[in-house]
Parts: sequence; C-alpha cells; structure tokens
Amino acid sequence: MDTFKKILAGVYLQYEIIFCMGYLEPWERRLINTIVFCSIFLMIFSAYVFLPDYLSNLMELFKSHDSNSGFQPMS
Amino acid sequence: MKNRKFVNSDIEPKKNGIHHTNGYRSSENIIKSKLTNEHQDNNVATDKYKSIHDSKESFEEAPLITACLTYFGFYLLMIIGYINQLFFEPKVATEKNRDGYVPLFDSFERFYLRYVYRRVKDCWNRPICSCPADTLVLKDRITPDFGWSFEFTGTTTKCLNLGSYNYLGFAQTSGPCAEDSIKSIEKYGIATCNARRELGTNALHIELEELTAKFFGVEDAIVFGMGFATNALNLPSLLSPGCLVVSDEKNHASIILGLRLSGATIKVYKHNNVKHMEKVIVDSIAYGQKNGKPWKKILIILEGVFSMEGSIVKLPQIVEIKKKYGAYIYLDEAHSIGATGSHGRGVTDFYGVDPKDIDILMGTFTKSFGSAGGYIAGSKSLINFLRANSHAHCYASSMAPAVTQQILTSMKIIMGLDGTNEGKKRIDQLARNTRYFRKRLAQIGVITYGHEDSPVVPMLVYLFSKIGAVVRTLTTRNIAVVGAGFPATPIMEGRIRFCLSAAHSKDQLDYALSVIDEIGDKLGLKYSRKPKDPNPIEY
Ligand SMILES: Cc1ncc(COP(=O)(O)O)c(C=O)c1O
Repeated sequence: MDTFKKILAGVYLQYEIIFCMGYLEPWERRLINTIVFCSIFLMIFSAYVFLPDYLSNLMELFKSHDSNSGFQPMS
Repeated sequence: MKNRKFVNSDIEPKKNGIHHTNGYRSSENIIKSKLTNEHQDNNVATDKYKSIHDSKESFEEAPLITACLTYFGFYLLMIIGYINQLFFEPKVATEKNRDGYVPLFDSFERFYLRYVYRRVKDCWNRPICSCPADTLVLKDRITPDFGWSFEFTGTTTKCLNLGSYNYLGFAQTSGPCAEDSIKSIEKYGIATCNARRELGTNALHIELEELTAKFFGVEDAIVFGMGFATNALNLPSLLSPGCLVVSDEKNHASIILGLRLSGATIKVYKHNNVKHMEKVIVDSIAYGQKNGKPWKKILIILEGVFSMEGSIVKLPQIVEIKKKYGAYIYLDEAHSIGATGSHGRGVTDFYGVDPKDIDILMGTFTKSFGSAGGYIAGSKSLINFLRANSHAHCYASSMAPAVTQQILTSMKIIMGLDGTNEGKKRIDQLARNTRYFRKRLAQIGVITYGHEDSPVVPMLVYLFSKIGAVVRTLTTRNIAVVGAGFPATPIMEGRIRFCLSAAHSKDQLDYALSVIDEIGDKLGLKYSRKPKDPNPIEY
C-alpha cells in the first residue's frame, strides 16, 4: 500500500511538473486540471461507449476474411 | 592533379557568363585548394589537441520526449499568460491619462516579464546579506501575490553557495586581501571621483597594470573599472565599419553590444566549432565586403570558458587558423582567468599557447580575483592606442582604490609573490573540486555540458518548470544555485549552473551531490544515457 502511494505521488509530481503547476495561480491550476480531467474523462467515456461496437465490427471483418479466403466488403 | 581540378571549375562560371561573381569565386577556390593542401600538413598537430580535448568535452542530446514536454510546458505558460493579460488588469502601475503616447516598452518583453517570468521571479534577484564565500546568507522573502511583489520576513537562511563566480575563493571578509584593501582605503579613500585621463590615476592603478602585464607575460596592460564596459566600450575603438568580426554564437552580451556599437560586419559561427569558423572566414575572405572591397581587418572573438556552456575554447586550433588567414584574436577570459591552467593564467596557460600569439587578451577581475573591473593586455602599441582612444579610459570613472588593492593582493597570491604557496594551493583545490564534482554528477546520471576542467558546470534540466522546482527545492535544503532559462538560453535548454570554488570543501560538495542525487530521482533529472562509472570517484 505504501509503495503504491509513493508511485502515485511520483506520478502526480511529474504531472505537476509537466503542466507547470508550481508556477500557476490557484484558479489557473483549477482551469488546467479541469481541462485535463475533462479530456481524460471524455476519452474513457467514448472508449467505453464506442469501442465494443468497433471491436466487434473488426472481429467480424477478420472472421469473414478467414472463412472465405478472399476479401469481402462488409455490407 | 588536385589544382588542375580547381582550375577547371574556375573556368566554368565564365562560360555561364556570371562575370561579377566570378572574380570572387575563383579566389575562393584558390583559397580552398590551398586550404585542403595545407590542412593535410597541419592535421598531425591539430589532431593531437583534438583527440585529447574533444574527449573531455561533452554535449549530450536530450531525449525526444523531454524536448516535446519542454515546448509543451512553455506554450502552456504562454497561453495562460495571454488569457491572464486579456482578462485581468496587471497588478503593477499602469500609465494613466497618457492619451497619444506610444507604450514605452516592447510589448513582447513586457508580456514575457509579467506573465511568464514573474511566476518564477522568486528564483532570481535574490538578495543576500553576507560575503559570497563558500556559504552565503539569503534574505528570506515571501510573495503574497504570485510574484508581483515581495515582502521580507526578516529572517535569513544560510546556504551553501554554488552560484557565485568566486572561483579561487578570494571573496573573503578576512585574510590578506581584506586587510590590504582596508589599508588602501585609509590611504586613498573609497573612490577616485575622476577618470583615468584626468585626476583619476593613482599608484595602485599603475602597479596593477604592470603586474597584470607581468602575470600574462605580455608587454603592457590597461585596466578598467567594469568588465562589461571593457568589452562594450573597447571593441568600438578597435573596430569600424568595413571590418569583419567572426564571433562565437555563445559570446557574452557585453561582446555583442560592443560589436553592434562598432558597426563592423558580424559573422557568427557555431559554438566552439573550429571547422565552421574556418568556413565562415574562408567564405568571407572570398566574397569580401558587400561593395566588393576586401575587409579592413578580420577579428576572431571568443571566450576562454563560456559562461553558460562550461566549454573551453579550442585555442591551439584557432591560433593556427588565425596565423593562416592573418586574422586577429580577441580572447575574453572573464571566467577562465585564474580558474584554468596550472598557474591560473587562463586558457593560454591551460593549452600552453604563447600569450603573445593572442593579440588582445581581455578579462575581468570580477570572478577569480573576488573584486571588480576588467583589463586588456597585449602589445605596447595596442595598449597605447587604447589609452588614447578608449571611451572607458577617457570618460569612465577609474577603478576604486580598495577594489584595485584587492586585485593586486590576490594576483600576487596567485603568482606566488607573497612568498607562500597559497595561490598554487587554491588553484589545485579548484581543479580537484571541479574534476570531482563533474565526475560525481556524471555518475549520478544528470546531463552536464562542457569541459572536464571547467569550473562552470551547467546541469541540464530542460523543462522550464524544473528550473524553478530545482532552485526552490535546493533552497529549502540550504543550497543556493543559479538557474538559467529562456531568453538567456534556448527554450530547449533550461539549466542549473553550478560554479565551483576553491573555498568549497569535499564535505560541502558531498552534501550538495547527495541532495542533487535525491532530487534527481524525485524530479526526474537523470536524463543521461551514457554508461556510468561504477567505481567510487576519488577526490
Ligand atoms: C564573458 C564575459 N565578459 C564580460 C563580463 C562582464 O564582466 P563584469 O561582471 O566584470 O562586468 C562577463 C560577466 O559575466 C562575462 O561572462
């Protein structure tokens, strides 16, 4: 648990350095944090919603490719 | 055979009918052919220096990801700065009722100072309240409004000093230098209140000029009250429009200012790159001035130890080039005088080059001598010319007596004229400290620039935010260092500059190194991908 905490602290420190948190005023920090977390959230959300569909489509493509031994456009 | 080849290519432009360039073209080719022939003869001698000294100098590249993050951080700060500027009134005095006036300050500079630099201002301009010896005392201050203003808390912090240019440790509050300086105040007062040409010359100045000339083994020397002015005001008296100056790209601001004032044509070569310098000279000689006339004179201008890069100039190769093309050399030894060479006489001593081969030896007393001022040493005729023509000599107030005495006493100690081996001890101590510190840093795994023997040790941290983080963290651990970022360096190359001193002891360096090791892990400064020396470093 302790090492996990340490790793997390290290990651947070790197995040702070990359986004110059040490130089920013509180409201600027909040602004950047919001933007970053919003974009991460959106990414995860869209992955959750759309990725399964995409993946199953992709699987389909490979499967049809295998069985027919020729390229078949999806219809 | 070789020459015939060049003759053929000489004729070719004529066929194309490019008459106006072809005169210069052909002379360029002749020079080039000469060059290639001569080069083979000289190679043996040059290669010797090259192989010894190139291996000691290191400039490691940054990982690509670091470069990207550096630019990302910088643009982020700029964008936030612009947002700030758009929506908020700056918390500093703004001009009012000034309709019809144009702003007094350059807008980008003002923006940069207010919205980017302001955030890290606490890492610079730090007031001290003690002698900048091996340790110094920082005045603590806090900023209630993110760098717009500062308040003193009334407390102080004693820090290990890794930032002052006190190479030989002559910045002292006691000892022979301090005692002699106090005596000179009793005799001459604090200031001379006049220029050298009027009533501002006293016996100390004459003695210092003679001693400086003797120190370098040249005919004569002239001293000035300020190192920056030595460059900025003497270069214009030596150069005029129509002269060619070949200047290193990392030269100090004072040199650049002097060159601009002089109106000479400035050609810049890549930092410490002798090949590029030779190419620049050859090309310039070949093409001549814009109006087709040959150059009045050619001056190569460089520094001994570069203050931001920590590299040592490749003097022997440059002296060869100078002799080949009949150019003059102006060598600024601000950081190298006292700090390099086994006798502390700068880079000429370091490489064993005859100081008479360098036409103009310039340097400052601000660093190794623990004083202030600058000198120019060289031939009698050069110095007499400067005595008659230099603005700094004619118009600037002369060097203060106590300052002069400090230089005199410290120079005598370095030369061993005081009858002890104190000077030799200091030079050796500095050399040992330098080697040890640089080797340990390499072992820790941070990237440092420059030559193994240079006491200026820039440690690359790249990211703009890491400069502030390192300086602030080191201050909490009682180590005072100097950070340098854009615009003093390229955006990519934010760095922490350590300046070593003979006053540091091994324990102090070990403490600093252990802290650097620790924060290097924490903040991620260990960029180096070079193999590390597994053995412990001997002091
Ligand atoms: C190369 C060089 N020349 C000149 C100067 C100016 O000297 P001073 O500080 O004595 O004015 C400096 C100072 O940093 C320097 O680094």
